Amino acid sequence: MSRRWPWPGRSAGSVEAPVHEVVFDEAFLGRLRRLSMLPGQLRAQGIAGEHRSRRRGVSPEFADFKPYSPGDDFRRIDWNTYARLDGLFIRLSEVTSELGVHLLLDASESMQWRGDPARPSKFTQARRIAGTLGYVALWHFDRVTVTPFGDRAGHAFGPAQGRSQALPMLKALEAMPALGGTSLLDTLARYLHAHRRPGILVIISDLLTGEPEDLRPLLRDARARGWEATIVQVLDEAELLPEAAAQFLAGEDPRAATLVELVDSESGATVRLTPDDPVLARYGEQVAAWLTGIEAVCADERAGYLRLLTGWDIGETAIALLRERGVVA
Amino acid sequence: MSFLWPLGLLALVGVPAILLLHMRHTEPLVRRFPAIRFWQAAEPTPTPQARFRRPPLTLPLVLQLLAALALGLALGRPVASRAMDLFGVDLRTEPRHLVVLLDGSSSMAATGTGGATRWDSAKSAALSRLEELGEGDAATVLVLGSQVRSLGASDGPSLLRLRERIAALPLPGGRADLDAALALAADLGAPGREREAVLFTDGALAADPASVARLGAPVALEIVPGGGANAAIVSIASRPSPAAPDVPSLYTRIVNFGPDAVSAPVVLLADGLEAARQEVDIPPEGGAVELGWALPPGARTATVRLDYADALLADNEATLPLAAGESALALRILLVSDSASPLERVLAAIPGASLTVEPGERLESGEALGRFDLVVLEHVAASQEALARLDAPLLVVAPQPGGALPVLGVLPNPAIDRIEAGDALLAGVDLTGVTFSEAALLETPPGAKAVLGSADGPLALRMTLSGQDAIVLAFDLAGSNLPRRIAFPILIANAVNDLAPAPPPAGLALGEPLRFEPRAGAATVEIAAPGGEVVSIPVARGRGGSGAGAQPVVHTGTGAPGEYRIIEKDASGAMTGEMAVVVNAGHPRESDLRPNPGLAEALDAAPSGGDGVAASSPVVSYLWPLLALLALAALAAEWIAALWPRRAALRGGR
Repeated sequence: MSRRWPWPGRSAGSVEAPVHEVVFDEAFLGRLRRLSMLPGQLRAQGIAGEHRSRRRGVSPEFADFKPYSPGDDFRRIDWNTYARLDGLFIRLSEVTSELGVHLLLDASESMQWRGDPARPSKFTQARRIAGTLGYVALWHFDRVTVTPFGDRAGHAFGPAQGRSQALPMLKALEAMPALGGTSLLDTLARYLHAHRRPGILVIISDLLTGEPEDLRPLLRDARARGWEATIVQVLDEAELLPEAAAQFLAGEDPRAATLVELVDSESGATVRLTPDDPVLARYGEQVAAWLTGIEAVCADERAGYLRLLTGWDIGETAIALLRERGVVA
Repeated sequence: MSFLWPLGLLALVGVPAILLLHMRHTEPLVRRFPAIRFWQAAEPTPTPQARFRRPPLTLPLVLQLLAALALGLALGRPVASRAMDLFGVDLRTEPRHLVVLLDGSSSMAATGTGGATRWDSAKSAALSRLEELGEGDAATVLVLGSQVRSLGASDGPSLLRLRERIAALPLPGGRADLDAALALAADLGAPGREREAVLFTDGALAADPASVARLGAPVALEIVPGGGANAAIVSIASRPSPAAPDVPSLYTRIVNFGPDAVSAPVVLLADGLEAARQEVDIPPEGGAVELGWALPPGARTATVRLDYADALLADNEATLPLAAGESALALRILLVSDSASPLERVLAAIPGASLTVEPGERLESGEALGRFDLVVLEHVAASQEALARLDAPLLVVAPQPGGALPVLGVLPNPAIDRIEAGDALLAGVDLTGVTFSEAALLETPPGAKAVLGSADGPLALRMTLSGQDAIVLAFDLAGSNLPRRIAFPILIANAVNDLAPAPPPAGLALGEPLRFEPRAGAATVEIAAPGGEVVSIPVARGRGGSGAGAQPVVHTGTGAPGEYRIIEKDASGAMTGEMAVVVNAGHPRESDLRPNPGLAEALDAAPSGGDGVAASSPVVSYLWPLLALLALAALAAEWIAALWPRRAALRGGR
């Protein structure tokens, strides 16, 4: 760490340039294997999957055959049928529900930000969350689609199914690029329109575009279409907590933060301010009101809501919170 | 509270400077942020871009101001006039009075180790000790030569000047009187300061323990290094040879103070030319040889030189003036007499005197007779006006009526019946069997003193006549058997010595003050040292005794051996006479460079304490350590305040 004499008036420079971050490591992957997805109220639409269905009275021994399609687990191919009919069929040994898990990942510029070099960026944290959810879904033979978005939807991973797709999914997340500005509402509307078959919809974003009330019609539409939506909001401590914000603005020297010019990471707009206690208090109030609005909209529209900070360990704190909120079991 | 170095308070400009730095608005820090809409809502009024702002009341600013204030005050070196301590450490400082006794005797001219003289080594050591003194301390330096010279300092600037003066001080020379210096040091005690004394010497001194005890302070002895081997010509003299009066004989004494015997040639120089050479063997440890030569006729100066390399080369040579030159400061005597007199023979025989004889009629003619140091009137009635014109001491013999002296008549066949035996006029004068045919009957004026008298009146008087010292011999020499007796020239010589100014000596010991009385008419005396330095001394006139003659001239700068020229000048600046005085370095005591083994014992035997420290010592406490500590603490706290948030952030990040 470079040291400077802490006289006021010396420029502390701008925010650090993004650096390459390790998104997943071996310990992280080990923890993922212990997780499994909860289906919630979703009905099974597919033939594969290990989730127990809520439909009762169906024989647990045999349900049906289904023609093999790419992405199906080839270990479930009924080779006797193949010998007799010369065609590939999948044998469903019990009645399970297959879930389509759709992970919408915010890859905008605002997600590339971090308030402290010791913490990961919001995008990295979001990718870890997406990796966790996608891994669990694939492990339980759910069909997983991961779609990054910025001002538009990016190149998606999936749909994929089966445990063999876990590592490719993680690699795809690792290599996922930033996509500029954010257009969550448009992207979400187009995504719901393009995917007629409902499933689990997990939106991982900082939700910094628009107002909370803008989410309400989209969530309502998704619920009407049969989607089970969950919003995972990823924030940095410096965005959420006034003390951490003051620390970020001050940089290495708290006394240097006498006058700060803030540049919006997406729009480029600026504001010049002195982060004294009254300003920080008002900032905290604004952020709290914004978060309260989001929580209220999600509750009204029966969408799951989860807020994760970048400083939290995804392997312990975040997963415990996912388990508490019923996203994973 | 007062400040020992008020100039240091200029550092307080750092306080407003720090304040200005904190009030300065400069370029803002640029930070990227995910969304600024909440900040825009939190700061509805944009921050103005003024150059200066109200000083932010932050902990770092307060600590920086505190540190700058404490440092600025500390640089002013504040002191408090009461006792203070800091965490048990006494901040008081006891002012000291250091008495430096610096031996400046002739022996200090000896060369020590490394080629430096003992005097230079002693000065260096003394300067080192003086540098240890600080504010509030006082120093007295007593330079021991033939006279004790006192130099003092009581504050920082004067201490600096004192050191400069000591560094430039030449060796005064002469014999050092340590007891006199100790007595002076005891009287010069600075009240309220702890006194300590240190003696820098080659050890060739003696001290009386009583003198040391009177000082009331311990005397540290610092012996300057230097060898003790030295041989010196300690005595030189001449006298006319009884067999051949024109051929004077020269006698000299050479002493070897070293531990080894000395074998060396001794050379006699007459007027600078080698006249004789002789090999001598001088025993060690005070052994001496005495040599005698017959000088060449007409020689004016004789120099004896011992060709031997020892510690003190200056005393290996001694010079003796043999005859006064034509322009020497001869005693000018005017004899006013109308007849041939035995006085003329006696006065002309006085060494170094020049005699002028004038008849009595010229005395009253009003003519200028010139400047004289003594006027002898015989059988003359001199008026007050004539005596006033002469303006010189008077020896009046057989005064006549009608003059300034009140002659009442004649005493026939006076017989001596009163003698003032202790008077210098009669020293060595045997008046047994002396007869007088007649004498003037004098009325003894007020203030006159009869030295010799008869039953009817005084025969010899001391008195003041016309404002001048005068000796009156009332008897007539022509009718007395005195001129045929040995007592007569002695009596006249005594009278001349008594009345005439004392001439400069022909020779002096090194450092011995040159003292003489300038002759009549001298307004200025210039003394040129062997090195060429000339000192001009104005002659003061006044009634030192009963007369109105010149005050004695005293010149103490005789620390260098060699020939000193004395030049008398009148009021117009014209030279009226000159002569040379030779200062020889050799001295039976000062040439003995061996340390006195009893000196250290004498200094140690004296009890210390006494009145060295006054009972009411003023208490002075230095406050700068307290302020410096405060500034240090403020700086440390400022750094902690500056670094703590970053360290806390790093810990949180981990």
